Amino acid sequence: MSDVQPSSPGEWKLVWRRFRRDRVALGALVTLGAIVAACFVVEPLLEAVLGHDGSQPIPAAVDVNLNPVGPFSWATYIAPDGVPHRAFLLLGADGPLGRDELLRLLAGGRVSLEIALIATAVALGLGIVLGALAGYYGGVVDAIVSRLTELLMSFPLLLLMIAFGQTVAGRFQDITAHGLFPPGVLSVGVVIGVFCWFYPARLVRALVLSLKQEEFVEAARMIGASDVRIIRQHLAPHLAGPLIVWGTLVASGVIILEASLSVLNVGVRLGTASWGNLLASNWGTLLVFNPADVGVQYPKPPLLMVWPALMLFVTVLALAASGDGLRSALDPKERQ
Amino acid sequence: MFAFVARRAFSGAVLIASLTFLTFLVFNTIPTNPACLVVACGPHTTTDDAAIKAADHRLGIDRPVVVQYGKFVWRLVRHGSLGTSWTNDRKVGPQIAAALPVTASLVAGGMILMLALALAVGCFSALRPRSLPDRGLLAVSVIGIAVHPFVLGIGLRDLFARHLGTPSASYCPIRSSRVFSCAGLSSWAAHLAVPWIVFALLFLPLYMRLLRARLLETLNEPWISTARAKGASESRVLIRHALRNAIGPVLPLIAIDAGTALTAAIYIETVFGLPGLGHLAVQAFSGEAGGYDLPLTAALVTTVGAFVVVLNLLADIAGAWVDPRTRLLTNPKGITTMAITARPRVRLALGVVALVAVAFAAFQLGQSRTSAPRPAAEVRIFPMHLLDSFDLSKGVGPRAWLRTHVTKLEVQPHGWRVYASITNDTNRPIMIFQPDPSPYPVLYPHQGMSLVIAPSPKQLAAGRNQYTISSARLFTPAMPHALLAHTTWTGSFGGNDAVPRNRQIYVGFGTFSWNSQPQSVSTAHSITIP
Repeated sequence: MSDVQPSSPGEWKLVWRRFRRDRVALGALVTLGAIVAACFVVEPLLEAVLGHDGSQPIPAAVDVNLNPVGPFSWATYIAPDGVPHRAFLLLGADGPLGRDELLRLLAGGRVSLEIALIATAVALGLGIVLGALAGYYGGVVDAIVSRLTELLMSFPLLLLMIAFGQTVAGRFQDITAHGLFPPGVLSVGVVIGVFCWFYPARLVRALVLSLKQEEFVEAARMIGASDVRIIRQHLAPHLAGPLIVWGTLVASGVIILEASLSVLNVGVRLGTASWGNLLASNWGTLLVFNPADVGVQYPKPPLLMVWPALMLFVTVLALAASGDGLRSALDPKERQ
Repeated sequence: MFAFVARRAFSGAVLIASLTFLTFLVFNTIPTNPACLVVACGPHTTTDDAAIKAADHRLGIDRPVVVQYGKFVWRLVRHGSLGTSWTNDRKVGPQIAAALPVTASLVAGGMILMLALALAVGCFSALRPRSLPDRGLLAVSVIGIAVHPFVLGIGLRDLFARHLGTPSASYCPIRSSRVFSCAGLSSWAAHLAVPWIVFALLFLPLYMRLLRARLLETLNEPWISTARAKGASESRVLIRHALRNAIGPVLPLIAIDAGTALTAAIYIETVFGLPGLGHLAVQAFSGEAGGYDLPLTAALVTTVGAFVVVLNLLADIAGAWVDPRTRLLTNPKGITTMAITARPRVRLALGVVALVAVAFAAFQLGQSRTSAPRPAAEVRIFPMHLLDSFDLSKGVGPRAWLRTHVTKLEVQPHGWRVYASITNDTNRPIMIFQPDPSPYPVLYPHQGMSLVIAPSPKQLAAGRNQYTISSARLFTPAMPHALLAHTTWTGSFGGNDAVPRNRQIYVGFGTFSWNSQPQSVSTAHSITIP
C-alpha cells in the first residue's frame, strides 16, 4: 500500500470526453434526445392532458370541403362515452378525418424510430457477419456471399416487398414482443433490415479484404491468435467508424423506405400513424401519383406537408451529425 | 484476363438466370388473378369460369412454374423475344428498348454528376476535417436522404421551373424521333438537368461520406508522410497517393448501385414524367386489375440484371487497376472452381443443394397438375328492399331529408355491386362528397359509396372493434356532385374487394351535406352473406 497508481480513464470514458468537446455533435445528440423524448414520453402525457389520442376523428375539425382546420383551433366532438369534449388542436387537423396532427406526428415518430432501430440493427448484424466472413476467408465463402449480394441487389426491391406483403406479412403482423411495439412495427423493421444488409456487407468485405494484408494482422497471426480473435480484436475496431457513419445513414433511409412500404400494403397498417404514412398521405404515393388530381378533391394545406418532412429532416440531420461526432470520437487515429 | 472475363460472364449468366427464375417463383406465390388483365372481371361483367380458364391458358399461367420459366428462356434464347405484355398486349422487347435510353441517360448523367460532386466535396472536406465548411457540407449533403424522394423531386422541379424556367417534365431524345416532340443534344440536357440533380442528391450523401472517411484514413497513413517527406506537392499527394487508394472500395459500390438506381429511377421518372424503365416498373407493379404484369417484370429484371453484371465486371477490372491488392482476387486459375474441386465436403453440399432443387421442381410439377380447379366465378344475387331516410340537419334549421333505397346486392369472388337509389326529398340541393382520393382505406364514419363490413366475432373478442370499408370505384351512371331538389339518383356502384361471408354488412351511401356539416349515411339494416 505504498504508492497509489493514478487510474487511467476507461476506453468509453475517453470516447465520451472526446465526443463532449465537439459542440455540434453534442447539440445534435441533444436534439435527437429531445425528439425521442417528445415521441416516447411527451406524446402519452399530451394524450392524457388533451383527453384524445391521434386516432380520434373529430368531424368538427373539418370544414364543408373536407378541409382540415389550421393550427391553434378548438373543435368539439362527441367522445365514445357520449360526452361532448372540446379538443385543442395545436397543429390543426390532419385531413378529411379531422384527427390531431400534433399527436399523430409524435405517435408516428415513435413508430418510425422503432422501425429504424430494428431495421438498422438487423441490417448491420447480418452485414457485419457475412461481410467479415467473406472478406476474411475468401474462396467459397466469398463467392457465395458476393453472388448472394449481387442477386439481392440487382433484384427490384419493390417486387420482393410485394411478394412478402402478399404472402407472409399478415402472419407476422401480430408479433409485438408482448405489446412492446405496435402491430406491424417489428415485422416491417425486420423486412427492411433483411433487404438492407448488403450495403454494410459489401463495405465490410472490402475493408476486411485490404485490412487483412496489413502488418498488424500478420503479427497477430504470428503470435498464434485464432481467426475469431483476429476478426473480433484486430479487425472489428477498424470497421466501427465506417459502420457508424453508414448506420446513421441507413436509419434515415429506412424511415423513407417505410413510407414506400405503407403504400404497397406491406408497411404499418393505416390505423397506426408513422412519418412515412403522414408524408405519403400528403405528397401522394408511388403507385397512385397524379399531382394534377391532388388539388382537385380538396386542397391540401401546405403546412401538413411541411410537418412530417421537417421532423424527418431534423431527425436525420441530428442522427448524421451525432454519428459523425461519434465516429471521430471512436477513431483510434484521431486520438491526439 | 480472358479466363477472368469468361468466368465472370458465366457467373453473370447464372445470376440473370436465378434472378428471372426468382421472379417467376415470386409471381406464382402472389395470390392474384392475372386473367383479369386480359378479360374483364369484377362485379360489372359476366365473365364466367370457362372464360377465365381460357385466359389463364392463353397467358400460360395454368402451367407449372418450371414450364413457364422454360418457355420464357426458350423464347429469349431461340427467338430473342421477351414475350408480350399482359396489361397492354404489346411486345415487351420494343417497350424496353424505347425506355432504356431514357433511364440510361438519367442514371449515367446522374451518376457522373454525383461522382464529380462527391469527389470535389469529399476532397474539400477531408483536407479540413471538423472545420465549419466541412460540417456545413456534411449537413447539406444529408438533404438527399433526409427528404422523401417525392418531396425533393417535386420541390426542385417547381423551384427550377419557376425561377430558371427549366422544362418541368417530359423527355427529349438526342436524335429526333416520331414519339417525342423535341430533340437535340441541348434540349436533351435541358430536360434532364433537374432529374440529374435529384438523382445525384439521392446518392451523394453515401458516396461523399464514404470518400471523406476513406480519405481521412488514408491521409494518416505513413506512406503519405513519406511522399510529403520526399517533396511531393500537396496536389500530387492527394491525387496520386491518397485518392487512388481511397477510391478502391467505392468502385464496386457504384456497380452494385445499378440495381438500386432503378428504384431511384422509379421515383424520379414518376415525378418528372420520364417514360423510362421505372415508369414501366410502376406499370407492371400497379396491380390495378388484380394482377401484376409478369412478362414486363421478367424483362425488366433481365435488363437490370445484365447491366449489374456488366458494371460489376468493369468495376472489378477498374478496382484491380486502381488497387493492386485486390488483383490477388483476379487469379486466372479460377478461385471458385478450384475451391470447390479441392473440397469433397463442399462438393457434397452442392450436390445436396442441386438434389433438393430438382426435388422441389418435381414437387412443383406434380402439385400443379393435381391442384384443384379455380372456384367458379359465380354471381350471387341478393334482391332486397331496404328503405331508409336520414335527417341531415341534425336538429338545427330546416329539415333536410335524404331517402335511400337498396334493391339488389350482387356478390362475386372478387367484387360486389349495390343497386340503389338516393332521393333528395327537400327543396334545397344536397352536396355529395366524393371519397378521399388517397389510396388508403377510409375510416368509419367518413366514407364514400361503399360496403361497410362489421368486425367478426373473433376480431371483437380480440378488442378490435373496427369496421372495414370497401370503397366503390365503379359508378353507373356517374355520381353527381350535388343532388338537386326533389331529384333521385338511381343506379349502381361496385367495388373490387372480396366480401367476407357471415359478417354483418351495411351499405354506405357516402358523405352528404346541405350546410357546413358533412354527414356520412349508411343503411340502418345489415345484410349477412351466407
